[in-house]
Order: sequence, then structure tokens, then C-alpha cells
Amino acid sequence: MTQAAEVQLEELRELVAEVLELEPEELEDTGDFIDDYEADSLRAIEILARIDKQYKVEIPQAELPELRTLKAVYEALVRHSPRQG
Amino acid sequence: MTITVGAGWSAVTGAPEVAAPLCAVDRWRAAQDGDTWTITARIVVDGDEPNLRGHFPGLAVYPGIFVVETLSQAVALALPASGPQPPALRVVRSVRFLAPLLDGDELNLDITAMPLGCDVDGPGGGWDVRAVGTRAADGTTTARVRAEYGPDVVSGKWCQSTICHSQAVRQHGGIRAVLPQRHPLLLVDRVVRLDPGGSITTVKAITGTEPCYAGLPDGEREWRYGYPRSLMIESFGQSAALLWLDGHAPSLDDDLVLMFAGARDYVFEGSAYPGDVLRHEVRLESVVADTAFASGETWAGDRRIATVDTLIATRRPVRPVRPVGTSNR
Repeated sequence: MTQAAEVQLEELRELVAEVLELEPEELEDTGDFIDDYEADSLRAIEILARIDKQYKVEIPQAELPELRTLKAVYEALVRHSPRQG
Repeated sequence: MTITVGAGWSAVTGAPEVAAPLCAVDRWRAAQDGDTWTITARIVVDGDEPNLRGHFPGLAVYPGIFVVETLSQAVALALPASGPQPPALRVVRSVRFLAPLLDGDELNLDITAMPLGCDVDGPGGGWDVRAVGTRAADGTTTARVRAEYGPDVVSGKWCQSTICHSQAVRQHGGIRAVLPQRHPLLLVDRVVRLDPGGSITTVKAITGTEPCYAGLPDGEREWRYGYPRSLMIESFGQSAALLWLDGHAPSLDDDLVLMFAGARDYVFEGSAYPGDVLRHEVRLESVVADTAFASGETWAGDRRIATVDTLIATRRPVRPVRPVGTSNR
């Protein structure tokens, strides 16, 4: 992972932790939002809305069921970001 | 006023001592362990209660924001206050409404309250309060709330009002055509400005004849007449719904009901009293998966009295749970 990617992952960890009402250090890359952090389905929608606002990246709603870990959200963000350079 | 009943429960027998839309606690109990209080409050949803007849006609649903009202009343009953006024709701950090409570359901609200740290702004500290609401019969989680209570803070900024309240882009009849709520829980009077899909300005006038002032004792304690904050949030939420729906009533043949799903960082900076006109300035931030995110401010004349970081509304099926006109009593 490049340095820029690591910075973006940490930024995303903060965004997701805020939605899940956790401290960023409590949120592990592969921790399951629903099973491990007692999230409800609305939280994933809220994460999508915040990513849309902060990064101007629209992750399709069809991917919502898979967005259950920070790693999955990060990969979706990268996949749907416009390619740079 | 409360009387003691079995198993440590106290039954609530009188009206709340501050303005309230209803008596939102039937019975409660509390225990103190060091600085921490644990409180349990119960209320049975009564479909014949006037508010519920308007929320909604033919399908009584305990308004999500009444869970916050139950919390506020339980806090006022159980927690020690630093003066004559019971601890006021200052900030809703986070609230999520997860499942509806219908006619005959009993809400069980488990509350934990801890003193706020000394670094918190505002006089006399206050309380960090967390609550989980469940349907007593089956334990289904219905709501989660994180909030701050304490001595009231008046910090809102002032500005010269530029909105003329007599102008309307949508009068009351037009609001009724769009929103499903009815008297006394239809809490928007007029739309005075609408930028479709962007922002809306609505007004709601408060008078001494509001039902929430009916049961109050006489006296000059003005704080008793503060307009209930649960209703202020509901009024803001209905304004957000008007913006989202953009003048189009939801189709009758879809089974989806517009639901208040939650809020984040709803901060009160002052109170509204009879004679005030509330003005809500609401912005639509985004709509994802049939869920709308809004933010904004509420003004009473030229005083700002609340700021809202996020309010979340969604469309969910409610009707299939129990058909209209039946009750689970």
C-alpha cells in the first residue's frame, strides 16, 4: 500500500468510526459492522452518503449489502474513484 | 407527581411540570451507583391519545421523537437538578429509530446517566445520557439515543430577520396535501421559500393555546412554557420531509411510510415560547437508497435556537406489520 493510500484509509477509518460511534482505533480493517459493532443497515447508507459528500464518489446502492467492513468500503471507494495520473 | 408501586417502580400520576405534548412515562424506577444513574421508564402506546390520532389517522404510531420525550420526562423525574428547573435537553448527539411502536405496544427505555466532565461548556455541568428503547413484549430494539441534559444554555446568535412570514409558497392546505401527519401533530404552518432539491424555509407559530400548555400549573416560572424540544425536532423533520417530497404526496398504493430515522448533533441554543414564530432553514445534503440527509437551523424571530448537523429520514414499510384499523390489545 502506498503512503497516499494509507493516508486515505486512515481518513476513511475516521469517517466510518464517526458514523458507527466508535473511536477510530476500535475499528479494525476486517471487523464486521453488524456482527462486531452492532450497526444497523442505516449506518451503511450513512457511510455512503458521507463518502458521496466528502470524496464526490458515488458507490452504487447495489453494493450496500457487501459494505460490512472498513476494508470493503475502502476497496469500493478506490474502485469507483476516478483514475488519477 | 409519582406514587410508589411494586418492585421499585413509581407510577406517574400527574402531568409533567414543564410543557409537554403528552405524559410520556407511565412508571419508572432509578438506582444510583457512585456518580452513575440507571433509570428505566415504561409507557404503553395509547392509540386514542390525541397526538396519535394525528400520527397517523388510521394507523397509530408512537412518534419516534416521543421516545426522546419519554427520555426527557424520565430524566426530569429521576435525576437531581441544580435548581428549580428540571434538567433540559441541550444536545441530541445521536438518535436512531429502528422499529415502530404501535397501539398497545409498551416501550421499555433503559437509561444510563453520568455527570459530564468539567471541560464541558455551560453552567453547572449536566449529564451525559444514553438510552436504549425496546418493545417490552419481545425485546425488539426500537431506538437508541445519546444526549446531553442539564441547566439550559442560551447561546444562540442573533440576526435581523429578512423573511416575511406572511408570504407563502405553500399554505397550510398544501402542506396537508403532502404530509401524512394531522392535528395536533402536523407541526408546519407554511412554506415561505422553496428551492426544490436544495433548501426550504418553513414557519410554525406557537401560541398559548397549543395542547402542550393545557395541563400546566399557573405561576410565573417562564421556563415551564418553553415549547417542547421533542416537538421542535418533529417540526424540523416535517420541514425536511416537505423539501424531500418537493410537493409530491407519496403514492397511495405504495406501502412505504415516510419515517424519521434519526439525527446527529442536534444542538439547542435557546427556547421558544408562546408568541414566537419558529423558522426552520433546512438544506437537503444527499439522498441515498431512499434515505434523505438534511441539515439546518431553527430560529425564533431573530434568535437562533437550534443547529442541526444531520437529520435522517427514510421510507419504510409499516403497514404490513399490522393492518390499518386493527390493534394488538
